[in-house]
Amino acid sequence: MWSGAVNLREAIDWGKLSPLRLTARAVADGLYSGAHRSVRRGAGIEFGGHRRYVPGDDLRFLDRHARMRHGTLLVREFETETDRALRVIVDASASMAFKSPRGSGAKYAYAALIAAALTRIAVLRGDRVALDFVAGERTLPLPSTGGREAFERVIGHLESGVPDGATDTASLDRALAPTARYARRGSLLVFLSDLIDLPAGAPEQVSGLSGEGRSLVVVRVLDPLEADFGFEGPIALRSMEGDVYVETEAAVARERYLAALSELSSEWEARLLARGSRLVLARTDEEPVEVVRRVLMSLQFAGDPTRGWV
Amino acid sequence: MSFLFTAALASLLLVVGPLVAHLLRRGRAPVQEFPPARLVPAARSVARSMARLEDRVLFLLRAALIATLALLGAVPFVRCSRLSLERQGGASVAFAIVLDDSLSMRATLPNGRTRFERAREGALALLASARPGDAIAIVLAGRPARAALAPTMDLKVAELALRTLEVRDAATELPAAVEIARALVADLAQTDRQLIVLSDFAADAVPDGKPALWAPVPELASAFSNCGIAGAERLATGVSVQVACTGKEAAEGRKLLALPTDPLAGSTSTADLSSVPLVARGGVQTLLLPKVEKEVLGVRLSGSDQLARDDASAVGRDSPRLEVAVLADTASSRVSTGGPTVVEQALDALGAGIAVRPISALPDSAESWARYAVAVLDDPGGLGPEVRAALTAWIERGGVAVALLGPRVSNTALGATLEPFSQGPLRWENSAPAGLISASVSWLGPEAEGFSELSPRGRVRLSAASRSGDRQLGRWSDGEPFLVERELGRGVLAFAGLPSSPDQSDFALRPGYLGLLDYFVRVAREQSGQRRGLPGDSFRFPARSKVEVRGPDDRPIAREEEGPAEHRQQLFRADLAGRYRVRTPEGEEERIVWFDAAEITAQPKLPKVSRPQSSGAAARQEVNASPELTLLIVALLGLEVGLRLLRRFARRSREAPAM
Repeated sequence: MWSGAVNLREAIDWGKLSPLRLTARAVADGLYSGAHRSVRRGAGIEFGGHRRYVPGDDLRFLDRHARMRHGTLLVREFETETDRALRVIVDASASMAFKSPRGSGAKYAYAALIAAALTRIAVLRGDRVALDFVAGERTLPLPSTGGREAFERVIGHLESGVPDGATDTASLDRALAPTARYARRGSLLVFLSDLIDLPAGAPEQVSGLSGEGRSLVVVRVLDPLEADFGFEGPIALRSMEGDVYVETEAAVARERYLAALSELSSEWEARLLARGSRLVLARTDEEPVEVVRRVLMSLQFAGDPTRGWV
Repeated sequence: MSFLFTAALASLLLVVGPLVAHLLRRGRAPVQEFPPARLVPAARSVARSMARLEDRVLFLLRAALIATLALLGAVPFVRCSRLSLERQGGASVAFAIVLDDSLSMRATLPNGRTRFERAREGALALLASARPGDAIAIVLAGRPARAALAPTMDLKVAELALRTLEVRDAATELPAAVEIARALVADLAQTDRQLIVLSDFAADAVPDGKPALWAPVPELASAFSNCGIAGAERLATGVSVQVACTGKEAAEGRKLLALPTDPLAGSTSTADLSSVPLVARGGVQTLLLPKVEKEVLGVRLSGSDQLARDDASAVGRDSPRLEVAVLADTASSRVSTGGPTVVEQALDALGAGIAVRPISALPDSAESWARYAVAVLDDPGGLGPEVRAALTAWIERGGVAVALLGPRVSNTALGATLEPFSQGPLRWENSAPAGLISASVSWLGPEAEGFSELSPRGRVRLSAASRSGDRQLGRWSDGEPFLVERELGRGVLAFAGLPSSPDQSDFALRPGYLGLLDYFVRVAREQSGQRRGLPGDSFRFPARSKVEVRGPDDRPIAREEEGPAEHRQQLFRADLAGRYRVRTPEGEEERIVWFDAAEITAQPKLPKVSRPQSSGAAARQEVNASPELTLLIVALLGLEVGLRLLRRFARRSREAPAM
């Protein structure tokens, strides 16, 4: 049972995740840094199939050989590899500084590692990357940027940020506004947060980012202690945002706490699925490679409501 | 009390240490930061009470550990009480344990155990302190008092004997048991002899003697409250029940219930057929349960007391009185003052327990004879063939027949004889010598003295009827037999040479006449007529007859033998109250054993001499408690370690699935 009472707001506990630059590279290199095919078809290199001709189609793509074989006008289509901009939003509120002895690092550190690993993969593919923060201190948003230096810049911004402050509707709006405004069709959006202490309308606000051809994946990062409530005996708990103080008996409260946590996840999942987005659950004692893999797979399936989250 | 002792005991105050630590720990709430605290339900009061409960185990464990350590520090000043023998200069001891196994020892003590269990525990503790070379004898004080173990130096045998002893329903014969115990140890080689009595002393006073008795467990003799059933017999109007109570408080609010089953035979039926309240007073009271349609086989008292065993009893199926058939000529054997015949009056004078049944003719069927235990034939005139056969069969099954022969033996009808009393004809003589030989009737006691002055007008000469094997219980002054007794099967027949009629002799006017009839009634009771008894009584049968007796629990009763070879008898002792079944070649009969009213109400009377004498022939009650305390410390430490390991294991097993 972890019974420490350290003020985690003072610093990020990177734990085993430090240094972020090397760890993120290792995570990214351990994964397939493959291309993401565009859903847009049209001019390109690789043949993507035929479809009937409709007035207005470019006559250059009319397939004469098919016309002779089938007697109908068919248009050749091609798949094209596009640059799909990655926009990462990291929750840097005070609760993200939490780390128990069983976690490999603070939740912010773990979220930063996932963000950096995704950045690395995106940069290797030549995609552009943007970074935004919810709350936090010394957190500077990074506009969409590309090239080799993009990874280093993202790392620098992630490392400079310190989790602090509470998340309210205004701060959430500030964090999401650039994404809503600048994210183009086909952009990949990743929101990293513990989803705790977010304002009441947060699921609607966050899920609203999807649409218009954007793919959204929300990654909920929890400490193992938060995930299984591994306390024992009588306990007194104080939240890190707001002023919630609770005295209880661990054995008595465990079941109801886990039910409430599950209900919160269900609420987010239902809201995201309705908009074709996905929810990925992660614990800070999990292998980051696996989490990044799940995020990548979820990004592929995002936009298809018939596929569940991974 | 030395300084060391005081200091060691003062360390008991350290017990407050864990208490203070416990309170401090309970007051320090472990506040922790936990982001999703708003999802955690509050349970403040539960948390605090759980904290108290959880910590209390450890607190008690540690407090007990400190207390035990303090006591160990005070040893050898602290000793715990346990029975043990004390010996003079370390010499061997001969001791007799009188263990009371009577009904009153079934009473429960305040701790819920019975007196007998406590007494046996004391006996085993004393035995545990015996050494090789000590001699031990065990005597049981329940009726009949007897030696359960002759003096032996084999302590293992003694322990085995003690462990196998069981309490019975019999009354207490403590004085006799003490005398037996004294006799057992009197001739042993050990000079240090001790007499230990483990009894509630609910009995007559114990006679003084050596060695003096010691009652090491005085709590056995605590007063107790009890009501019990001392007898239940079926009458024409219902069931008459005798209930004995120690006092008013024992009887208050209780009822007597009639049951359709026998509760002492293991029946657990609780449905009662009828009931009647007890009178709230001590002593014996007779209650009548009204007659009901269903047969009442048992009775039970409602409520409870310290002695539950005697709250239930079996109900006798038949009249409890001994039925005596009397065949007498009302004309010749009547008395001038009128009323019944001489024999009937004499039998009535023998007291309660006898039902005199005058008959005008002897029954000629075995069924008709079966109800009688004794038949007295006064001046019979001869017996017909059917009567002879029925009478012989009845005697062989245990009946007692007495013929007082008179003038009518000379006038027997054609076809009638005096068999089975006499094979050949007998004759009445109009002259007789004066008196009997005193020595020949001395077995009757002082009442027989008058027979030496007997002056009859005649007599029947019995020498012709007497056979080898017969016992001549009285002889005339000329040597002629006066009274002859003969065994026939399981029964007895006897015939005398004078009738009861006052016209023929003063035989019936002598005190010895009553003594003679009383003798045959007693024979009948012992021989076959006894159908009621008390725990500790023995059912007696001739050794050669094939008999099986089963107790209330349907288990066969062990058979014992006693008496000289020519009159060897087999005995079946009834240790428990209840219904017994006696199976003989002639058939099966039932006997009832009831609780003794005196035993039910007997209150303990602890004798004044209840402590060991100062001579040293005694026992002490203290032993060093160090080994026990050390073991206790080890056990407490083991408990603490076990508890901690258990909690750690439980925590790990709970955390494991969440990883």
